[in-house]
Amino acid sequence: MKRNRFGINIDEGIPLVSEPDFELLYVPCFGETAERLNSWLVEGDKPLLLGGQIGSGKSTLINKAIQEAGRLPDVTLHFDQEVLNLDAGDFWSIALAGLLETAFAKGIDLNFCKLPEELGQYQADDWPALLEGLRPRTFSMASFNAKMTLRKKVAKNATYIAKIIVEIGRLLEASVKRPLFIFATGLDKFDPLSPTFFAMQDIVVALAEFKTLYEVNAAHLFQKPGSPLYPLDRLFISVLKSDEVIEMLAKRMGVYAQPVRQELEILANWSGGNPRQALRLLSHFETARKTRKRNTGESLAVAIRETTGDFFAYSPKPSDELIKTIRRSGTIGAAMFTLPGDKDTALRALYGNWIFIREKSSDASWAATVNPLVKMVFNGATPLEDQEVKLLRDYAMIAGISPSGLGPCRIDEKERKKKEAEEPPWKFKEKSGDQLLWEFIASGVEQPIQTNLSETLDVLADALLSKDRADRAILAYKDDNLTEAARAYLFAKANSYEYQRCKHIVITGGPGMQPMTEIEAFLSEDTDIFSVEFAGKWENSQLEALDKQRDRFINHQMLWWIPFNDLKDYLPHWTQLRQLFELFVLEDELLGSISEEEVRADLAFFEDMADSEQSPEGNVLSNLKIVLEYLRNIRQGVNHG
Amino acid sequence: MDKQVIRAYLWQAVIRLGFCPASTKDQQGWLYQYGQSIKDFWETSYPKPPRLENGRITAMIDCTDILKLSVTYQVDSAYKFNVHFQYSYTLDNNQLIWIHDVDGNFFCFPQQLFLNRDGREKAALKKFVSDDVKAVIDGLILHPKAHQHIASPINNHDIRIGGGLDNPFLFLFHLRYQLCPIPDKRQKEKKRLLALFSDSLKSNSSITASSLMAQP
Repeated sequence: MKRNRFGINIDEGIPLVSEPDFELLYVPCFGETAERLNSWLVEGDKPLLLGGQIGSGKSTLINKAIQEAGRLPDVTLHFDQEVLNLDAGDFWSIALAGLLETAFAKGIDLNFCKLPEELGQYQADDWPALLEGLRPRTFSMASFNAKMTLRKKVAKNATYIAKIIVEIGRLLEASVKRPLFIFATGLDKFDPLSPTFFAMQDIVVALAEFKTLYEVNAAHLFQKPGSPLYPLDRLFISVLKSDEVIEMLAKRMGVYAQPVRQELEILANWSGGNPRQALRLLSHFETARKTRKRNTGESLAVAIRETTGDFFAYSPKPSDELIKTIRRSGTIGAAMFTLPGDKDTALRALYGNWIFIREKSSDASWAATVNPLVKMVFNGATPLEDQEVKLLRDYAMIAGISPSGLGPCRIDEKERKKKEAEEPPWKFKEKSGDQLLWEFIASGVEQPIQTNLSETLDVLADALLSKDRADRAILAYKDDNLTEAARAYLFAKANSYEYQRCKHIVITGGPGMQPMTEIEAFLSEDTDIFSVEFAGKWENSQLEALDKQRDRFINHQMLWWIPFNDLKDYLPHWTQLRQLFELFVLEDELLGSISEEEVRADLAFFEDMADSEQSPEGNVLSNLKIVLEYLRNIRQGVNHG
Repeated sequence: MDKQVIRAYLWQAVIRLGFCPASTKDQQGWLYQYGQSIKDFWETSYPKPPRLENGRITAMIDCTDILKLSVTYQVDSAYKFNVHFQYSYTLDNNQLIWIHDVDGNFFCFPQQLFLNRDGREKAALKKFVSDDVKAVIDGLILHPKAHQHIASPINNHDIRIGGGLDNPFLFLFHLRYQLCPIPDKRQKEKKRLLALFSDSLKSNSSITASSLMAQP
């Protein structure tokens, strides 16, 4: 990703990777955890679990520590990028392919067995062909089918494959003459209570023979005795302190930070110390304040509401009792995460970022807080006691905005107080500005707000118009008829300044369908903007397989079109995925935000400038003509259906 | 030849070579590239591209990140244009506006006429030195003699909005520099413009929009 040296660098919270990334944007905020990881990288010889909640900065910390220690992994296994069926065949194949690749690079003699022949169609010593079969470099239907066949065979012979993996690992270890450093990344994407996570535990055991770094979610750190993860050493990444979050956000704003310093403090408070949540808040705030007719206070409220919707809309909520306990005591018992039965809700709350844990406050409990974005959806919470609402209200006072004038909570506070004084308490029903603000933010969890296409474009524009940044959006729609025009409009705008190849595909899920195969094929195409329409009724297993692919989409600009009625069913399965997507529910009426006159004015400007179809201008023209025709037909009452 | 006279010719030549796209298509192309260049020059994001409405090119350049300000231009021709500066802070949607409005139908001191009568342009363009180009670029772009600062509550004394600029392309280009908050970029841009215009003046060749909008 191209970074600005002095200016703004906002993204959706993707890990920092390169030296310029670290130089410009890294804030040393991981303290003792970073030190311990560093010393493990240099001196450690046993496996280690590194756990943090979603968006806590695990990948960034690991990348930084590896860079500082100068110890690159000998083998890196991405468990979140090649899973198609979420079964043991996938996991063993990923591990085997990863070790084989390193063995080839180091010239290891693998003639201790005849696995290529045993698994099927290869010569006994043709290991490169086996690797190509397990992980084809180019996508074709034939290579894909061969891979699936191989993976099934791998799954059937898992015990034998485990032995071979360990043997290759030992040969590699002998070759490097030190503990073999394996980095098992992406385990954090697996719900700790899912059968898939249990399916991969044998791999964890096999890799524990080596110096393996497992990247896991904080929820995976709480294991019962007897679990393969239980005896392993562990490191926990806590939430950040408020001033660290502010510094991180200020770095993202570069020279533009100073005028919004106060607003960054508010956003930091609403982040709960989670870096990705903080960045998403900043991203929405930036968009909101650029949208005309909004003052800074309103923009803050909108940013909080939008972030809540992105991360929590339609998510299954933890119990009120759990939240009440945490709110009252500021801690959560470690036993809550491991007890069987209905206490599972604590583990899910942790995995889904409904709660944040900080550090162990005693042997048996952890300091914990409720995520500020969702506090208000639980019974018993009131705005009066809420620190974040108070900060926002104080900000509004200082900035000269009435606290009741923040965003949609605009009411006449004097009038309200007058009525309150005049009427008996049991009759007085009007809500205060704080209450309305509180409800406005809470509504993000219950239902995403509808936006028109023009507003959607405002939010997407920073990423959509430029190849420098790749963001992803879920666009839910109620009316099928408008999607073609809406898509053409976004494609046209995406080509305003840079030529961007846009491709659209319809992928059907449901019984007997192979949507993941289609996605894999689609991603192998060379294009800039991937537009995917979800058709059919996707099954839970298909949705969950997609969720695990989150990091595979990081470098792609994507627009996902999903029927609104399916959204409620899909989002609960996408705890990971939604972290890197922004969520929009499109209004039915395209005409509400785009007029024929505007489209004509856009067309008129680009018409003279277009030299060829394969240019930004040519692309804008062809797509705007689709939009114009749609608008004309609507005006003339032509039915698109 | 008197330095003042040399600079007077340079002044006119810089406008002619850099800021006079001839046809409507050239003007559209110039303004398109102007918007395109903002993203990297200010290190923010792209503005919305211009539109052509009733023969008038319009666009809004968002400067919220810098000054909570938006700048909207409407260019009818090289002689008639206006630029709206809209400031929105915490006044609950009350916005402050001033408009830089240029209407070529009204009389203005005809500088070019007198220079043409004087007839020494060729000689002047042979005699200039680097300091002359620097002075002219300062006067037109970097530090216009007559300018407005934005005072309370921003109070950024480095921003100088030139009051006397009547060429739309020059006015917009000087905003690109004046509203850029990155000191390093501003410093490098000074050097780049000096070199670019010195070369252009020496060869008496127009500067393309893409060269003018290049990043320092």
